[in-house]
Amino acid sequence: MELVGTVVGIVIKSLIFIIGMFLGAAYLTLLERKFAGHVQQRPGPLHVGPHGLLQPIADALKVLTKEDLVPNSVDRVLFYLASLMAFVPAIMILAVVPFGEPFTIFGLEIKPYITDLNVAVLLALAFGSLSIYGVIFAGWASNSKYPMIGGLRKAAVLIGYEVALGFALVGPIMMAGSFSLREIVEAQQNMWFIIPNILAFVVVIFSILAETGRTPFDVQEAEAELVGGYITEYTGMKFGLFPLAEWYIATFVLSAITVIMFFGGWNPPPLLGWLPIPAFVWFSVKVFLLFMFFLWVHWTLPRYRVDQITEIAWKVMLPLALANIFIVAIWIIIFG
Amino acid sequence: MVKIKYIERPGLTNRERVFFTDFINGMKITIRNFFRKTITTAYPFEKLTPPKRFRGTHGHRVKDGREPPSFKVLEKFMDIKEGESRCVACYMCQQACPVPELFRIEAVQTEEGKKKVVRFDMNLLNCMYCGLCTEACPVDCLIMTDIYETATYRRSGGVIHMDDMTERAVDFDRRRYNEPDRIWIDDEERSKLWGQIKWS
Amino acid sequence: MHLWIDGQDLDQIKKSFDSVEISRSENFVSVQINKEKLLELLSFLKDKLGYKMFIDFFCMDFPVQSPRFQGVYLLFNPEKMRRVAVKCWAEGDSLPSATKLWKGIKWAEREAWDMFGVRFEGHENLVRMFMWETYQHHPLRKDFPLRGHGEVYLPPLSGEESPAHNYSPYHTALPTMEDLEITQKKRLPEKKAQIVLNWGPLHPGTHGTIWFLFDMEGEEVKECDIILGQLHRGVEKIAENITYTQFIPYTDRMDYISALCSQVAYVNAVEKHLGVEPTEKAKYIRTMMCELQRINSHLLWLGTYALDLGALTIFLYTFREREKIMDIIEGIAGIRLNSTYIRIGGVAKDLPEGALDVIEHFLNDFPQRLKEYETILTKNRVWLRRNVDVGVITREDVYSYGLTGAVARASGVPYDVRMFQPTDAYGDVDFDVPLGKVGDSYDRYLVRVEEMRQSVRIIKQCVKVLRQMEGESYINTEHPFVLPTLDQVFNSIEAMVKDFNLRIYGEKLPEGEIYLSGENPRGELGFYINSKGEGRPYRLRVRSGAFYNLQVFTELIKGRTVADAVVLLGSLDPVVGETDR
Repeated sequence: MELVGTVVGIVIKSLIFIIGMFLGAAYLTLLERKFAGHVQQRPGPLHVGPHGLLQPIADALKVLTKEDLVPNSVDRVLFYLASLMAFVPAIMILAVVPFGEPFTIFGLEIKPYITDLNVAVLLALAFGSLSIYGVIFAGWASNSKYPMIGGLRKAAVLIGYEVALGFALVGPIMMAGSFSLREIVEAQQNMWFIIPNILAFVVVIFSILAETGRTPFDVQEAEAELVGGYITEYTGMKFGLFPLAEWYIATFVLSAITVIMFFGGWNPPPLLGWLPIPAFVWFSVKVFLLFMFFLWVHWTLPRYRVDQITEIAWKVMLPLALANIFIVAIWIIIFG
Repeated sequence: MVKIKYIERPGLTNRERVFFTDFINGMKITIRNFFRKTITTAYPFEKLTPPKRFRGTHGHRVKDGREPPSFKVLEKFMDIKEGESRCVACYMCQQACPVPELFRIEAVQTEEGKKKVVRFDMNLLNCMYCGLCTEACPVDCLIMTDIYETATYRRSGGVIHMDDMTERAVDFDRRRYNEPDRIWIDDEERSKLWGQIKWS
Repeated sequence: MHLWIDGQDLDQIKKSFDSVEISRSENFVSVQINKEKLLELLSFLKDKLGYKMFIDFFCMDFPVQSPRFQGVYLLFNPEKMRRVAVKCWAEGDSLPSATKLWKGIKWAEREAWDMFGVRFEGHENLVRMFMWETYQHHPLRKDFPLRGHGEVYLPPLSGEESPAHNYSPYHTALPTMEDLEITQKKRLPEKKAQIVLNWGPLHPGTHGTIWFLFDMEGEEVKECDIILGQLHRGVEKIAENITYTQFIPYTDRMDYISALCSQVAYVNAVEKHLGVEPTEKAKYIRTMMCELQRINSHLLWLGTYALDLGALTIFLYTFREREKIMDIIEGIAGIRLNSTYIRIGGVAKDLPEGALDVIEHFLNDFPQRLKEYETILTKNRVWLRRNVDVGVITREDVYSYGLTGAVARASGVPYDVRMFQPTDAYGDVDFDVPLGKVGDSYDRYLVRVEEMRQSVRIIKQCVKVLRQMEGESYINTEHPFVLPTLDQVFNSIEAMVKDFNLRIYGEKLPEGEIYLSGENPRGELGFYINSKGEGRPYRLRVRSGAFYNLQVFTELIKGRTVADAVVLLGSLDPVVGETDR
C-alpha cells in the first residue's frame, strides 16, 4: 500500500514537473525574445495576445502542425532518436533538482522535488553528458555536410566543458561533504559557497554558456557559417525540441544547479532572512536572475572560433577548476 | 588638407583581462539600451508618410487649371477635356526611360484633326523607379506619387493604365499638392527614431 | 592634378621599345605595343619604372578590324601617383597571360575570356568568370544582341496568356543542374582533401549570392574557389545601348549599398570628358551625400560583420543609425537605396527645407553611437581573438592583387582616390586617411571605423558651406549637354527643345577615352569610357573594387577554418552587385 502511494505520488509529481517545465520553457522563449527585443530597442512579439503573451502558444501550435519533412538520405532511426536524445536527458535532470524544503499542507507532507538521491550531482552531470549523443546522432544521421560539422563542433565543445564543469563542482561538494543537492543547500545556511569557490563559479558560468550553446560559444549553430548547424535538416517539432532543450530547459536546469551549489539554494540572502518570503520564491528569484544573466551575455558578445573554445576549455578552465579544488582544500583545513 | 595617419591598435591590459572589464563595459551598453524607448514603427498598423519627393508608383496629373505654360502651348493640338490626363503623347518619358519597352503609349487622330491619347500603359515590374521619365515630361503630367504598396498576385497587376494613373495623381495632389518641399512632414512619428530635432 | 604618366617615363619607354605607339590626351595616356613585346613592356613598367600596382585589365571589341580584340592594361605607380594604360591587339584572338606579373589579373583575364572569347596563353585555369562553363556565347562582343538569343521557352506559371505588353516567353539560355555541376568540376579540377563544401550561393554568411567551394580537411580549408555570376546582369553591355544619363540608374544597382558614391564616380567621368563643370553647390552636395553614403555603407558592413561573428545586437544598433541616414537620403533624393540623385552637371534636385538641420542632428548624435559600438567590440577579448592576425595582407599583395579601399589602407598603403585625385569638393575639405600597421582583419575593422569618424568631419564642413549657399543653383544647365530642370522646360521653349534633343540623341561625348575613378566604400570604382563621338559609349568598363578585393580571399582562406571564412569575407566586404556587375 505504501509502495503504491509513493509510486502515485512520484508519477503525479513527475507529471507536474514535466508539464511545468514545458510551459515554463515555452514562456522562457517569450522572455528571451522580449529581452532581446528591448535590448535592441524593439518591442519583440507584440500581436498574439496582450503584449504578445500568447506568442509561445502560437509558436508551439505552429511547430506542432508544421509538415514534418524527413530527407530521403537520412538514417531514420538515429534521425528520430537524436531529437529525443537531446531533449530527454535535459528534462531528466529535473528529477534530482530540489526546489525548496519539504513543507506540509493539510497534514500532507509535500517534498518539492521528485527524489533526493545521495548521488544527485553525479546523476545531473551524467544526464548532461548524455545529451552529447543527441548532437552527434543529429549530425551524423542527417547525412549532410553542415550538420556533420556542426555536430562535431558541439561534441568537441561539450567534451571539453563537461570535464571542467565536473571538476568545478567538486569544490562545493567538498565543503558540504555530500552529493545530495538538498544537503548541499542545507550546508549553506550560514555562508554561501560562492565565497571560497569564486574560481569554480567562473568556470561553471563559462561551462554553462558552452553547454547550452550561447554566445560566445554558440559555434554549433553559428548561422553565418553553418546555416543551422546540426539542426539544418530538421523540421517541425523535431526541430523545435533542440533549441527548447538546449537554450531553455538546459539553461534553466543548470542555472538551478548553480544556484544550489553556489548561492545557497532556497536560503535567503544574508541579512534578509527576517523577510516573510517563502523559500521557493527566493530560489526562483535567484534562478531567474542567473537565467537573465545568461541571456544578457548572449545578446551582447560575439562568438569564439571552435578551436579557441576547446583551447580555453583545456588550457584555462580545467586548470582553474583544479586550482579551485586546491584552494577549497586549504580553506577546509583552516576553517574546518 | 588631407593627412595620413596610422591608427592605434588597442589591446587588453592584464587588469582588464582578469576583471573582464571588456565584457562588463559591453554589457553595460546593452542593458542601458534595454531601458531606452523602442524606436520601431509597427508597420501595417502605423505608417510613416513618405517625403513629398518620394518616388512611388506613377500618376498622371489631370487638366485642372494648374498646368505649366508649356502645356498651354501644346494643348492646341490636343483633345483634352477638363479632368482628363494632361498627356500630350510626346513620348519623352519613353525616350528618357532606361527600359523604354515598359511603356506603351498610343495616340489617335480625332476627326477635328487633334491628337488624343488612348492608351498609356506602364509595366512597373520592369520599372527602376529612377524618375527620369518624370523629369522628361514637359507638361508636368507624369509624376511619381507617394504610394509604395504595389504588390499584386499576378504579373498583370504590375501593369498600370492611364485611368489608374489619373486617379492616383488626383488623390496625391488632393493630399499633398500644396505641401512645402520639406525633408519630411511627420515630425511626430519620426521623433521615435530621431528624437527632437532643432529646426532652424 | 594630372594623374597620367609623365614625359620622362614615356621617353624611357620609347628608348627601350622602338615599336611602341604613344597616344596622349588629358584624360588618358596609353602605350600601344605589339603582342610579342607585351610582357616585356609590362615587366619593364612594373620593375623598372615602378608601375607595380595592378589596377585593371579589360578588352574591347572592334568587329570590323583585324585583329578584332584589343586588351587594355591599367597600371599605377604608388610612389609617383601616376597611371598608365598599355594597349595591345590580340592577334589570333589571344594574348599572353600576365598572371606571372600580377596575381590580380587572373580573374580579369578570365572575365575577358568569358565576355569576349580572348584566350590567354599561359593562364593556369582559364575558365569562365561569370557565365557557366557550357554557355555558348561571349556576351560583350558587339555581335551579341542586347537581349541575348531567345533560346528557352518559359511560359508564365500563373497561366496568364500575356501578362504585360512587353512580355515575351522566350528567354535567353539558363544553366541547368548539369551545367552547374560541370562548372563546379572545372573550378576545382581535382579534390585534394576530404570534403568539398558548397558554401553558398544562398547562404547566410556569403552576403549575397556568391558560391564558394571549399576543399576541406576536417574544418581546415585546403583549396578554395569562388563561382561568381549569380547576379551578373551585363551592366557594361547595357551601357553601350543607352545614353549616358540613362546609365545613371544602373550605376546604383552595381554597388547597391553605396549607390550615391557609384553615381558620383560615374558622373564625374562623364563630366570630365564632356568638359562640364558642376556648380559649387552641387559639388558640396555630392561630397556630403557621398560621405553620408559611406557611413551608411560602413554601418551595414559593421552590423553584418558583427552578426557573422555572433554579436547579434550590434547589427540592430548599426541599423538604427543606418535607418536615420536612409531617412535623410529618402528625403533628399526620393528613394532610400537606389537613389539616382546625381545628374550630369549637378544634382537632380535642390536640398529640401530642413535637410541640413536633420543632417546636423545626426552628426551630433552619431559619434556617441560609434563609441558605443566600439565599447562593445574594439577591446572585447572575443573580438580580438577572432580578428587579430587573421588574414594578414601584405603591401606586396595589395599591389599584386590590385586591392583598393579600406583593404589596401589597412595594409598601410595610402591609396585613397579622394586624396590624390580630389573630385567635387574633396579638395576643399580637411580629413585624415587612416592607415593600418599590420593588415589583418582587425586593422580593416579599425580603419573602417575611423573612416566613419572622418566622414562625419567632412560632412560637418560641407554642411557649414551649404548653409551659406541657400538659393544657389544646383545644376549647371547653361552647358549645352546638361539637361534643363523641369522649371525651365515648363517655361521656355528653348529648354524644351534642348531637353528633347538630349533625351533622344544623348550627350555627345567627344571622341576619345577617359578613365576616372572614385573612392567607393569598397575600393576604387573606376569608369573607363571609350566614346566614338556618339550619344552612347562605344565601350564602358567598370573597374570594380569589390571584384578585385574578393579575389584575395582564395589566398587568405588557405589553411584556415570555415569559421575564419566569415571573418575574411566580412573584412573584405564585397557586394555582389558590384563584383558581378
